[in-house]
Amino acid sequence: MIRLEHLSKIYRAALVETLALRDLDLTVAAGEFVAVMGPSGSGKTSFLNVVGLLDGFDQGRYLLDGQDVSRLSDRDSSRLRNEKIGFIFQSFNLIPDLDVFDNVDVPLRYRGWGAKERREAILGALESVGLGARTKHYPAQLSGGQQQRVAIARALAGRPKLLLADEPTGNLDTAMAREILEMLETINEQGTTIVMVTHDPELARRASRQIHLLDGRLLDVAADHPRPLFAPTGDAAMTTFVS
Amino acid sequence: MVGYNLKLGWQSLRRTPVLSSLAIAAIALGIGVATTCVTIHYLLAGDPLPGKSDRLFYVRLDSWDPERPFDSDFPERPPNQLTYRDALAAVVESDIPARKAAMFRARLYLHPEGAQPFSADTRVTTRDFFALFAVPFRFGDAWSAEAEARGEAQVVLSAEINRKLFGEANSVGRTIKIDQQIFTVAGVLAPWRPALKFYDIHNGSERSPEEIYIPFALARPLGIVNAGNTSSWGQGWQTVDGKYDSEAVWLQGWVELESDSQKQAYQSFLDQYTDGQRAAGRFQRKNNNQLQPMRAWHQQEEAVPPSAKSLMVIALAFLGICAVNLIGLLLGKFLARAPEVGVRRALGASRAAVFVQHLVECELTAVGGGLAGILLSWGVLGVINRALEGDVHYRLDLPMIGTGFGLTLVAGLVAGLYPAWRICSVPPATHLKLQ
Amino acid sequence: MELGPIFRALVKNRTRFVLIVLEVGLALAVVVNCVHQLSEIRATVTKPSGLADEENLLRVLVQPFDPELRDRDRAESLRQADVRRLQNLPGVVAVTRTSAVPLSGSGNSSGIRLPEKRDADPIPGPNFEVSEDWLRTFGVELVRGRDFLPEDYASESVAEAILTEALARRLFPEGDPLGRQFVVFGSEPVTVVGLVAHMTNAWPDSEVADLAFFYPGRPVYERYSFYLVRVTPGLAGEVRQAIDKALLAEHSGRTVEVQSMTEVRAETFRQSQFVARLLSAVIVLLVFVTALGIAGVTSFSVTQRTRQIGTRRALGATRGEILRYFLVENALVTALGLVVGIALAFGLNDGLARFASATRLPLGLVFGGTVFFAVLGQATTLVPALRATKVPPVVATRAV
Repeated sequence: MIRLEHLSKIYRAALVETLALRDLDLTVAAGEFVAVMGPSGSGKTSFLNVVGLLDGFDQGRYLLDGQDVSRLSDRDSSRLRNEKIGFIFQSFNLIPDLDVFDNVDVPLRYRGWGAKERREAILGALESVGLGARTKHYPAQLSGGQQQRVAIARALAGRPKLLLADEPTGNLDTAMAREILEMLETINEQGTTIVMVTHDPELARRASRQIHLLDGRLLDVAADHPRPLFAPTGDAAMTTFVS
Repeated sequence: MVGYNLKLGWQSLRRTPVLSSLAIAAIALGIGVATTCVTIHYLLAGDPLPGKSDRLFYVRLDSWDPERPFDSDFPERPPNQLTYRDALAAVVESDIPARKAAMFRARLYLHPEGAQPFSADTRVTTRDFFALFAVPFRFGDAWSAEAEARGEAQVVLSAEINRKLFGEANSVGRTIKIDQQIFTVAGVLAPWRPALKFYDIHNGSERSPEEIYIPFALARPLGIVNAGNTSSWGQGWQTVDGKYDSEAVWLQGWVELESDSQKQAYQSFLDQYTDGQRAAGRFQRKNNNQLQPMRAWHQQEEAVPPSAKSLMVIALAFLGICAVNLIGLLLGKFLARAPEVGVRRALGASRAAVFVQHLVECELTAVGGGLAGILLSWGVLGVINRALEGDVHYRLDLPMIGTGFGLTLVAGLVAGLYPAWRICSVPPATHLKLQ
Repeated sequence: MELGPIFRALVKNRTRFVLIVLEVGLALAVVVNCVHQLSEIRATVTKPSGLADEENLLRVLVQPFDPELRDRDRAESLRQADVRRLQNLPGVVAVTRTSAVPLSGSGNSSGIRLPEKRDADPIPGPNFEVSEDWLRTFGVELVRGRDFLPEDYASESVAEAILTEALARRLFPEGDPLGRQFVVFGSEPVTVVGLVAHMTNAWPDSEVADLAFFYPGRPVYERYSFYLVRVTPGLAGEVRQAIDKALLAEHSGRTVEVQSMTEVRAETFRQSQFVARLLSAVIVLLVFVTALGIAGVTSFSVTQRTRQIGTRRALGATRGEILRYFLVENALVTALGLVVGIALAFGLNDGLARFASATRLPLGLVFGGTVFFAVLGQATTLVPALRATKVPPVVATRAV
């Protein structure tokens, strides 16, 4: 599903260059549930942005679903995001002026589906997250867990092959977090590849595979061999503290 | 608390200079345009003699053709001017009014010593003219009642013509040849330029006041006739004597009546006068002698150009648009500050306190813009005056500056209410959490 | 493409859009009414006078101050001498004497009646007493009948007249006006011998501006006289100088003032022009302020929705789709504003009609104004909307 080869990303400020991602090599097979972990500033968000085609990179190659997406135009990468990737954000990112139905509708509009097709997809997705009865509610009228479920419905409605989740339970209490996680597992079991960024080891353990990022570098950990390969060094602790 | 709110407002203005300047510019533009147009309208349509105009009455007698009314569209209206005979007998020679003036505009020749003669705009009138219309003097005064009675050739000069003839000097007592007659200067006016020539709206209401003023008693002896509208239904008005003796109307009559009883007395005097004339063969229509207060007269004759009225409506709508703009700007500015307000609320500021704080800031913005706007209006009126070739037409006076300032406060309040209400409804908690 | 959700989002979050609706509505109402007034003023100011080539038609005002010239016979002979002198100036095509000057704001008017209806209300009869060569000098077009005969000018009584077509229509609604008679100056009936196509009388902004009649004579007034002088194009400047010298050489006891008809027109319309300029300034400022207002509110709404835009981008919206979103949103809001504005425009027009004697708004103007503001709305939204397209999709993953 995802293949990164020697991928690097550099952030340039006025005088300083920071390597956000350094020489990343990674393959995620279709149907995997991968958890990406790492302390703040380790490059998790950069990783997610690059994999989600939200941001470009400077060196290396990225194959998404077999297609080289290294040098895509903005338009093409937008289309690709829309068709292949579903996003779940830490702060839900629902559009406050739109009701639940219209929120789920947003990516489908860009897909260019017909009204009937969209309606079926939206209601199906909302049904699957248990919010079929709340289509007319606005985000502000929903709890955090419900909002995130709307976000999941929005991510799923377009039937993406890849689901990218950015700290999906970061703003939720434990009970709600569990509910969301179970939902993700179900989705994964139905065949959707999931890449989830989190700093919660508890959560990461539920994934089929864990990846650790540190200073933009990858440390791969197989889920079925939970070896503590990664032990924070003094430097890393320092980084965490500073950022 | 007010001091603290003012301080907060001032700090806020300084913290967002771009947005604040835009807001101030919006209100300045609105107030500038509104004050300019309101001033123009006020000078054209406002009371030319505040506190006095309701005591001044325009005199009209129905001396017209027995066969048909003067104005067939308004048959109830008497002619808009007077015949010479009636102006003399019913206005000049009546002792009832506190003051009275019969008058007309003429063009006479001034013969300055050693220079080419030129024609000057002249008002031929009685001495009460100056007191009646509160005309400002720089030197001297109107010719005396005795001089008027003796028919002495005395003249009052406008400021401009005095400058032209005598420099800036006090010319009272000096002489000047007008047509073929030597006149003595009795007085010199201070600069005087009402926007509307309110005492004679039928012969060029937008014109400047005349350049020289000579006694009415000299009109007939010198054979002076009017330069202005003459209406007649009879014959023989084309010659000089004909004009004086015929039924042609070409003079204006004004009286100052200090009380209702005085007005009634004068009205019955007029009716008796026309009854008497009727017996002698004139005034064959039924009595229709009207005393109309100055402003009602102006209104009836539509002396104010309609465009001045629409200008005022348009200017106020313009201010409305600027206020709406201000609402948008303030809303943006305040809501961007919601987190800070959340902190203030959490620290114990009541809704009312937040509301007042922001309203004060709006008013501060408005006052800044209003001052700039009034200044702008002053500049624009200056440009307009220059475009109108030296006539000082439109000047900001205290009441107009006050009006501009009042509009400013209202605009600030109206524009500030909604944004201030929105920002004071920000709950204290939300924005703390997000910090 | 996504009208439904855009509209529903608008309804949900009205405040800022209500501002635009109000602003566009007010602006349309005011601008349309201002432009209407402006065009009315323009129409009056630029209405053709019927006089050919006003630039090369000079009006000469002579005002005698020498008492010698008060004598009627002396005055008459001097005037005839003046005309001869003027005719002989190089560059002069034709000269006539006239009792009044078209467009000047002062002239003579006498009530006219038909001989058979002496009791009827008179028709206003602005008139010009003219001498030889008047047709050529005025440069008006004689469309029917004949000019006055040479002997008519010397006659003491008024027996013949030439009417503008407008006056002829008003006086004789039926039948051929030529040869018909009317009564004026309380005299014997006057016969219509000719018609001129059109000429504006001395009061161009009055309702009866195109009513006029001409009668032959030797206009003589004690205190002033007017000559009209038609000059060869391009020579007006030199002729003006020469006129002054020629007339003062004939008799120096008087003043001479020369103006071209273009200047006469400008002076008459000075106040109108002043109001027109003021209105134009208000219109320009208003459009400017409205554009700023729309740009300001939209810009603010873009800033407020940065995260939302990033999310949409992340969910697959292209830059073009973001641009379109804001343009469509503005179009919806502006459309609503324009509906409000059209209603307000007619309301304002009604008020102005009642209090300031305005005329009805032409529908074409309202339509034009509507289109203008629609385009203005789109154009001013373009800047903030383009800024919105620059919001990168990574905004969506940024921590709040």
